Amino acid sequence: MRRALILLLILALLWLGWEAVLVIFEIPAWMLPTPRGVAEEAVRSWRILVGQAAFTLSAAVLGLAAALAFAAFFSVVFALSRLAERAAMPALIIARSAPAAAIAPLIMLFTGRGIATSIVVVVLVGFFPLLVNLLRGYAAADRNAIELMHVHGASPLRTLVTVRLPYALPFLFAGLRVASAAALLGAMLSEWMTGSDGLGQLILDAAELRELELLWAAVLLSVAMALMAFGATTMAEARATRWRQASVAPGL
Amino acid sequence: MKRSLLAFGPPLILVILALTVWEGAKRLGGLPVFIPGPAQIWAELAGSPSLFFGNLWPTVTTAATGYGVAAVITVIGAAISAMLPPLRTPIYGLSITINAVPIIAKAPLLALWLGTGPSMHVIIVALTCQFPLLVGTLQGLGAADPRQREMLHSLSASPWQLLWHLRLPASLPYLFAGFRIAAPLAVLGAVTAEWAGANSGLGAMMLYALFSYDIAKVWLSVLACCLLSALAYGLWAVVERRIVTWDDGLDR
Repeated sequence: MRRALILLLILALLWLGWEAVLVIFEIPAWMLPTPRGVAEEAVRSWRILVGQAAFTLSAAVLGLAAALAFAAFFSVVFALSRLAERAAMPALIIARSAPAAAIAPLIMLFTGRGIATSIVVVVLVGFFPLLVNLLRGYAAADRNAIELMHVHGASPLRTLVTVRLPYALPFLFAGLRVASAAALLGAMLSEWMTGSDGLGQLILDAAELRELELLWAAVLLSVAMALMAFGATTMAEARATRWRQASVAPGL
Repeated sequence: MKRSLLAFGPPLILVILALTVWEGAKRLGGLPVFIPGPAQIWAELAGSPSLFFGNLWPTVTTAATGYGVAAVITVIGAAISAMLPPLRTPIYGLSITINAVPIIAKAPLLALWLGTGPSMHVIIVALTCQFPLLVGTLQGLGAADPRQREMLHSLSASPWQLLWHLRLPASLPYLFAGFRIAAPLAVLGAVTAEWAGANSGLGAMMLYALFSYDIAKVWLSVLACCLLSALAYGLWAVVERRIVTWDDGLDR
C-alpha cells in the first residue's frame, strides 16, 4: 500500500517535472510533446499500442521459454560432465559476446521477415544469462547437503535434483531478470531489422513519420514493460531467497 | 611458452576444423544460398578492403569514445555517491532508469534531438554501456573487508594508504567485471546507433547490404561486429588476469 503511494507520488512528480521543463525551456512541440498529448494519443490509439506490444511480448515470452528449456538441458549436461563443459564453454563464451544487433540480420536471412526471427534472437540472447546463473547456482549448493547425499549413495543426477536445483532457484530468478530485459530488447531489435509487427517497429515508424505523441506513448510502454519484467523477476527472486535464508539461518 | 601453446592450441585447431568443414560443405553444395562459404566472405573483404576498413573504423572510434565517456562519468558518479551517501540513491536510480529505456527507444529520440551525427552515436554508446560500469564501480568501492579496514585504521594508516593498500585492490575484481561486461555493449550501442542513421560504419554497411541482399557483405559485417565485441571483452579479461593475480575473478 505504501509502496503504491510512493510510486504514484513519483509518477506525479515526473509529470510535473515534464510540464515544467516544457514551459521553462520553451521546448518546441517537435522536440518533446506534452504529457497530456501523449496520454490522449495513448487512449486514442490504444488498440495499436496493445496489439503491437502483445506481438513483441509473445515473441519475448516464447523465446524465453525455449531459452529456459535449452539452458536447463545444457546446465544439467554440464553439471554431470565436466568434459562436456570444458569442450563447449569457450565456444559459448564467444557466442555470448556477439551483440544481438549483429545477430539479428543473420537470423533474418534464415527465418525471413516474421516473428520467427524475433523468437530465435530472443533464444540466443536469453540462453546465456540463464545457463551461467544455473551453473553458478548448482555450484552454490551447501557442501554438507551434498556430502550427505554422497554418504547415502545418491547418484549425481539424484543429488542434482534434490539438492543442487533448489539451491539454484534464486540464481535462476536472477538469470531470468537479466534474460527478460535482454529478451524484450532482442525482440524489438529484430523487429527493427525485419520490419514486421511489434512495438520496436511501431517506435521506428512513429519516429520516421514524426508522430511524436505516438512515439512517446510507445517508448513509455516499452519502458513500462521492461520495468514490469524487472519487478516480477525481482519479486520471484525475493521469495526464492527468503526460503534459502530460512534454511541456512544460524542455529540450523 | 608451453602453457600458451596448451591454451591456444585446441581452440585454434577447432576454428581451423570448423572453417574447413564449412568451406567443404559449401563447395559440395550442402548449404543454402544465404550461407556463403568462408572463401566468399574473405573474397568480399579482399575485393574491397578500403570499403570494409572505411566502415570498421567509424564503429571502432564511436564505440571507444562512448565507452570512455561513460567510464569517466560513471566512475566520478560512483565516487560521489560513495563519499556522499544521500546522493547514492538518485545517482543509482538515474542509471537504472536510463538502463530501463530500451536502446531501440533511445536511438530514435536522440536522433530526433541531436541529428544523426557522430555526437548522437557517441551518446547512445555511452548510455548503452553505463549501467554495468556504474554497478561495477559502486560494488568495488564498497568491497573492502570492514575487518581489514579496522586493522589498517588501528595501525594508523592515512586515508591515502587506506585507499592504495586496501580499497583499490579490493575494488579491482568488481571494477574489471563491470568494465568487461560493458565492453561488448559499447559495440552493440555503436551498431544500433548507426542503424538509426549513419553514412558509414558497420551498422550502416550491414543495413545497406541487407537491403540489397548482398549476402556475403551481410556476413562480413556481422562477423566483424562479433569479433569486435569478443575482442573488447577478451582484452579486458587479459588485462584483468595480468593485474588481479590474487583473485579468480567474478563472473567468468
